[in-house]
Amino acid sequence: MIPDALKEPVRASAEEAQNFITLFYRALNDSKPISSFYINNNPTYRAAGHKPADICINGALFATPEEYDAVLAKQRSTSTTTTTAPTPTPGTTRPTPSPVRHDVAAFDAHVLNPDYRFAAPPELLAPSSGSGGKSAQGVRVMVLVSVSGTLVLGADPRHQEKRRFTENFILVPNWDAIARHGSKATRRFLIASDQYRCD
Amino acid sequence: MAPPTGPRAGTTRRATTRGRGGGISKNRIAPRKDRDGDVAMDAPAAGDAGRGGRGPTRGGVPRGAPRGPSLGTTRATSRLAQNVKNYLAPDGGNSDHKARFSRATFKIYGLKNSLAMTNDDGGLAALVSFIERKNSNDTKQMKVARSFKDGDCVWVSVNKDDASGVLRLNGYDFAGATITVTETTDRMPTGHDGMSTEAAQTKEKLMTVLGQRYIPETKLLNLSALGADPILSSMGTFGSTTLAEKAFRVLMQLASQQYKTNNERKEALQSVSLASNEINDVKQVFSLANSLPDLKRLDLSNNRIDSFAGLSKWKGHFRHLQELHLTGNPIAEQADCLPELLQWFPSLQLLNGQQVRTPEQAAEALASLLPKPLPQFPSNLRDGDNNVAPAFLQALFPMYDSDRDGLLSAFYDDESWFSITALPDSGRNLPWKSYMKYSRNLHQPRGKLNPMAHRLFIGGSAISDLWKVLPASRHPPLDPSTGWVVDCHVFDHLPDPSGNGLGFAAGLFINARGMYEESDPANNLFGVRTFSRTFVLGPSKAGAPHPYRVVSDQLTLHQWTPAADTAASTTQTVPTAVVPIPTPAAPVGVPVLDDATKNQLVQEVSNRTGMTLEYSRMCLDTVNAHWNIDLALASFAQLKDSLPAEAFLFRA
Repeated sequence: MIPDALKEPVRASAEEAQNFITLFYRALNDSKPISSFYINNNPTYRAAGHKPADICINGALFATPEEYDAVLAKQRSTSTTTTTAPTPTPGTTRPTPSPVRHDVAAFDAHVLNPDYRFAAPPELLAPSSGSGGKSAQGVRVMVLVSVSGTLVLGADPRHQEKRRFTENFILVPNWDAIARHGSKATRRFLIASDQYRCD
Repeated sequence: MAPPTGPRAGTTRRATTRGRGGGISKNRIAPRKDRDGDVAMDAPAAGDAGRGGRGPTRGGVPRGAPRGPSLGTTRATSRLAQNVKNYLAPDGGNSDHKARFSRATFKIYGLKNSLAMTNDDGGLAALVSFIERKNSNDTKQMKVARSFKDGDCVWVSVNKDDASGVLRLNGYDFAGATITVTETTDRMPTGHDGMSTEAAQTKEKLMTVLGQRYIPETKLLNLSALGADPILSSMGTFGSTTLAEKAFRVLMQLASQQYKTNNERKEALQSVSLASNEINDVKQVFSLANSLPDLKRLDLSNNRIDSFAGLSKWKGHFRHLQELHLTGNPIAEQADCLPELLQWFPSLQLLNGQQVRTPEQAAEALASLLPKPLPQFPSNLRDGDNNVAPAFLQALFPMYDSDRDGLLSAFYDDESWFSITALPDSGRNLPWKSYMKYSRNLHQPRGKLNPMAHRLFIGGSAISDLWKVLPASRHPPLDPSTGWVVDCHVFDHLPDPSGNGLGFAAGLFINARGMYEESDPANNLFGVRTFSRTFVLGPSKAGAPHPYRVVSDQLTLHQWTPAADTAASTTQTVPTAVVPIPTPAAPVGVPVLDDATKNQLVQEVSNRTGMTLEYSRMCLDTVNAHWNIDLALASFAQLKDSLPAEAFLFRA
C-alpha cells in the first residue's frame, strides 16, 4: 500500500516522531523548559531566516517558546497541590510528581515533504553519496504529528482532574544534530508549528 | 522436570545454603520489618528498652515484659496480629510477597499423639510456642511466621535463617510424642478465601463489629469508644497500641472493601465517628484517610488531641470533608486553630457545629488545590485572509458525509495521505469495531516500529476504498455553536508542486475539533463521536479542480456515545450538539437518492445559479437542504454574496 519510494520516509517519520514525543513530553512532565524543542533558538535555521515557530495553545498565540514556558511554569505553581501532597508511601522513593502531566495515548505521523531541504547543509543534500548521504535520505523529511492523550491536573492520584488533549506538530530536521549523527537523546527534530487544544 | 517444581526447588536450595552461610544480617531485615509492621507510636513500658541486650525492642509486645499475667495475653495478641497480617496480605501485602521468598516451609507430623492434642486448637499454639522456644535465646527471639493445622499435619513457615533450627527438631519429643519435621517446597494451604482459618475467624468477628456499628440511615460508621466494644476486647485487640492500630486498619480495609466502586463507597459511607477513643495523634487512625478518602463528616470529639501536630498527618487528606467535630479535645480550646484547619481541609464548612465557610467558598478552596488548564480561546483562524480554511471545511464535511468519492476527486490526488487513529477509552471496546482494523497508532514508547505503521492510505483510490467501508457520518454545520473549534495557520516549505525540487510552497495547517453522528448498520452501532481532524493543504498540481489539494488528512477519533444515551448525557464537550437522532431503520447520512438523480439535481442547481457543479452539489447536500432543490436555491440566495469566486463557472 505504501510506494517503495516512501517506505524509508514513512519509517523514519514514525521513528523520529516517537523519539521527539518521548523527549518532549518527558521534559514537559518533568517541569523542564521546552523552548529548546522549538526552531526559534536553532542557530542554523535562524541564520537561514526561518520564521519563528507558530505556537497556538488553546487558540492563544505565543510569540516565543519562552513565553509559553513562562505560562506553563505559572500553571504548575498556581496550585497548592505541591504543598499538601500526601506523605509518600514508605519504600517508594519516587520524585515529586508534576502537578500538570500529559499522558500520551496515541500519535500518528505523516510525511509532508519527503525531500526537505531548507537550510540543509550541502553534505546532507547529496543523494546517497557516501554513508552520510544515505543516513540523511530518510531523515530529510518534514513531518506532521498528531498526538492525543490525557491531561492530568493534580499530582495526587486520588484527587485529579483529567481532560483530553490533542497536540499537532510540524517537525523539521535539526541539521546540527543529524550532521553530528547524534544519539537518540538529542533533539533530532525541531518544532516549526505547534497547535494544542485541551477539552 | 515439571515446570512448577523446578524453580521453587531451586529457590529453596539456594535459600537454605544462604541460611547457613553469610548474609545473615541482610536476610534478617525482612522478618523483622514484617513482624514489626508499623512502628508503635507509644513505646511499650519504659523498662523494656534495656532488656534483651543488643537491638532495640521490637514494635510488638516483648515476651517476658513485666505486665502481670501478660504472658498468656501476649501469645494471644501476637497471634491476632499474625492473623490480621495474613488477612491484609492479599491486598496490601507487598511486604508479605517479598517475605514469602525469604521463608522456609515445613510439614510437622506427630502432634496427634501428643498431650497437647486435647487443647482447644489441637495443640497448634503449643507446638508453635515450642518451636520458637527451642530456637530462641537471650539475644534472639525466633518467631514462626505462619502456621496452619491441616488434619494430622502442621505447617509452619519461618525465616530462612531459622530453617536449620527447625529441621533440627526432627525426632524431638514434644508433649510426650515424637515429632517428624520435613522441609517442603509445597505452598502452605490456607483456609477459605485464601486465609488461614484463624484469620477468617478474625475477619468474621471484625465484620460483626462493623455491622453493628454501621447506621445506613445516616450513612454513618460509628467507631466511637472502640475500647469498650465487647467483641474487640474479647479478641485482645487492645493488648497493645500496635495491635489496636492494626485492628483499626483492618476494620478500615474491611469497611472500604464492602463496596464495589469508589463511588458506591463514597455514597454509602459519608460519616465516621471516632469519638471517645483516647486518640492523641491521628496517626493512630491514619488509615481512615486511605480507606475512606471522600468522607464528608468526621467526629473526633472527646479524644486527647492537644495540638496541630496531633492532626497534621491528615493534612492534605479528606478533601471533601465538610464537617469536623473536635469538641472535648484540648486543641478545641485554642482560639487560632481555624485558619489552619480551613487550609488543611478545603471543603470544611462546619467546625464543632459552627459554620466556618459557605459552600461557595468551599468549592473555590477545593478548586484552588488543582492546577487549572490553560485558558480556552475561540477558533484561531489565520489562513492568509482568503478564507480558504472555512471554505474548505464547509465544502469538505458535507461531502464527506454524503459523497466521499466526489470529495476525493475534488480535493485529493494520488499523493494525498490519510489515516485514522481510534482511541479506545472508558472500556467501551465495541464502538471501535468499525475502525479498529484501520487504526494507526504509532505510539510504542519502548518498542520497534509499530506494525500499525502500514495502515496508511496514500492516494485517492486507496483512500476511496477505505472510506467506502467506514461508517456513515453526519457532521453538524460548521459553526461555533455546534461545538466546532478550528485552528489554522499558513506555513512554509512544502515541496514545490512544479516538481523541480528547488523551490518551496506555502501550506495551510488546519485542525478541526468537533463531533459527528455516526451510523454503522453492519455492526448495528449508532452514536455520536467526538473527533479531531488535522489537514495540511498545499498547492495543487496543474489541471486539478481546485487551486489547493489535501496533502495530509489525519482523523483522530475520541469518545463514542450510543445514540440512545446522547439526549441524556448532553455530551459535555459539545453542549449544543444534540441533533435529532435518526432511527436505525434510516441511518444517518446514507443517501436516499441514487446518484443519477443527484447528478440531475446538481446540474439543475448549476444551471440556475451559475455555480460550479461542486458548489452546486454542496449547496444541495447540506443538512438543511438535504437534496431539496427549493431549499438549496433558497440558501444559495442567502449566501451568494459570501461565496468565493471559485464557486462560479464564470467570474463576475
